[in-house]
Amino acid sequence: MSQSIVIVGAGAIGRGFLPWCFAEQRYEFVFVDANPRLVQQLDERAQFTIFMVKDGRLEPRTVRVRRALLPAQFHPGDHGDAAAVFVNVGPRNVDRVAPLVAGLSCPVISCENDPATVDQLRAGSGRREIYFAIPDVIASNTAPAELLAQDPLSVICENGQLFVDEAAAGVDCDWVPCSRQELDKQWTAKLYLHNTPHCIAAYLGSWVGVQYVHEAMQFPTVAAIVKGAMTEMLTSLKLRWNIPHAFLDWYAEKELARFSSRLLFDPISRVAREPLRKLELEGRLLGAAQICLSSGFVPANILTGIASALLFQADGDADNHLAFMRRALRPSALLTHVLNLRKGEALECVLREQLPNIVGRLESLERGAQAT
Amino acid sequence: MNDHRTPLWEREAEAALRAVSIAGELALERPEALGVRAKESARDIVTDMDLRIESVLREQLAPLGHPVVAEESFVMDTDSLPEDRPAFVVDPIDGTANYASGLSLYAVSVGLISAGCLVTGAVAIPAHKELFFTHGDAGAYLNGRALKPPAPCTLSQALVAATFSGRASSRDIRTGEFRLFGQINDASRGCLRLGSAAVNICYVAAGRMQAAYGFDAKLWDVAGALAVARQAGCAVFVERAPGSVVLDYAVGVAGVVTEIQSFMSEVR
Repeated sequence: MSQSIVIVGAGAIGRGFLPWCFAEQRYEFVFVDANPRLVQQLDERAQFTIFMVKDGRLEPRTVRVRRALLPAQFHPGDHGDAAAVFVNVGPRNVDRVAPLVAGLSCPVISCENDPATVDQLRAGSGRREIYFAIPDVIASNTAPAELLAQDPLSVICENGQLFVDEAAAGVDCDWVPCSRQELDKQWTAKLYLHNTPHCIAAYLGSWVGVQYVHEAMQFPTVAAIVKGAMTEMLTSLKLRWNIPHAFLDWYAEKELARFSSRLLFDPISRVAREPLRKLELEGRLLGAAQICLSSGFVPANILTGIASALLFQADGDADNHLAFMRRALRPSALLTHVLNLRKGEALECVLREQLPNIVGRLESLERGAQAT
Repeated sequence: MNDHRTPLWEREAEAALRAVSIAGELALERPEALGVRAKESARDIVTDMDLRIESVLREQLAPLGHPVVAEESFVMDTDSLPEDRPAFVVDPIDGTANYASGLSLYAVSVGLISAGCLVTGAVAIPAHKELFFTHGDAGAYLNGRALKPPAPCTLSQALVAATFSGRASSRDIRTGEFRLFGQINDASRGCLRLGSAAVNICYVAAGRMQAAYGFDAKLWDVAGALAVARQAGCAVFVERAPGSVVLDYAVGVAGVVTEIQSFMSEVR
């Protein structure tokens, strides 16, 4: 009987990318997810198809599902043979996962977009064998209609890599073990050369009314802002970080090609969701802008990204109360109470001064898209 | 079910948040000469800033047409709380003694009471750059980040905060309040007296403390904060006679509130 891999969070990374990291016949997968409909479908079908973009084509693979469970149905004692647990539920939900992994003895790998989730999981579970991993990949949580017609659980991802803290040993997985220094380098690149421009592309995509990131990149103005943001981050990372410039240039080029890939079907609703999380003080937007300012220049394109995130709205998004706050608060109060900037600090000053103009440009971008 | 419906009390919640934000900014412009005067007792004071901020709150809330019950203009023995229609209950500065002394723990508070229930609220703690608010029936937030329901704990694991009534109606009750404070202090990780009921309750809603309680509190002290705490998932116990603006309250982790309630009933 195959050993199992437990995947908590059956979204884009959990369902679409991680199964590629394991030999096809070696493991079966146990999925834990809070979406009852998805859990039911996974459990009833007992398999689904994933596709990887390789050489401009989609390569399929069948993933065997041993069980799919809601969090309340998951009992660690039933999964004693698990070789590893992967957590990919979104940083906001990590606290709820910690009790699930407390009773397991295998390594736990946090694939969340935030290294602090390792400490959260350790504190919540009382376990030390919890490690950070960086999925360097774009994975969609859906697929084009023709693939969904064959298998409604189909998902697409690109040919990416999983960088994992080298302290996580004993799992037969196609991942790249990394020293702490290498993991820091990969994380810096992921945060500022992937996350920053990727979410800007998504927020601008919502302004031009498209569904997928690659569609947003087809608008010249959007592509110019995203590339501009990438250049701003490259410039400041080269000035401030001791990371080989050739690596940073290669990474940036790779990411821009990803964003424009017509095969990935990367949904804007997924990338742009929870804008307040993307607007955390030290995160991919504000943190990025702060680095540029402290490097001596005003990052006009990243500021556009911040404004577009602040103005983002989508039905059903967890942060939809942002629209309520925009109506209730003056712009200066939004900067201090939503973005948590200090009055008079550089970023607060430039945003307060430039916000009206940026909003005007976003509105003209929207009008231009509607006209076409 | 329509998922895109307008949340309950949307306009009121928006006006409340706008009002405390603007009034909070004004509170930060604290002048040297505050014009401090005593009200019901030497430790129940009002400043010129309380009056200015109350006026700003009224101005912001006026367009909604609901009556506004405000601390500094309410006359205890003649005015009453409208029970037949929604009313805003506002406190320009809860923690005026702290404010007058240059301490940061004070709050600007707006709550909406309807049919005896605190249905929406907003509280600014200006010196700490914090805005607590409810958004319809959808939740409670601190600077836009959702507040989570408190994790269960016992009184012995809880940090608690207390408020005392501005004036004791009798020496026995005051003695009882002190005894209760001592009992809870000894039975918990500590009982604090921060000087603002609204701050206490908002800190409980944010999970920084596990419970807060008070005797003979004024409704305006706690209205906005109790609405926030309830929406955040805290247990809320309130004892208030119909039409009265005076109440006893305990709020926080359900089990801790139950224990505090039993202590409170002994005092009463």
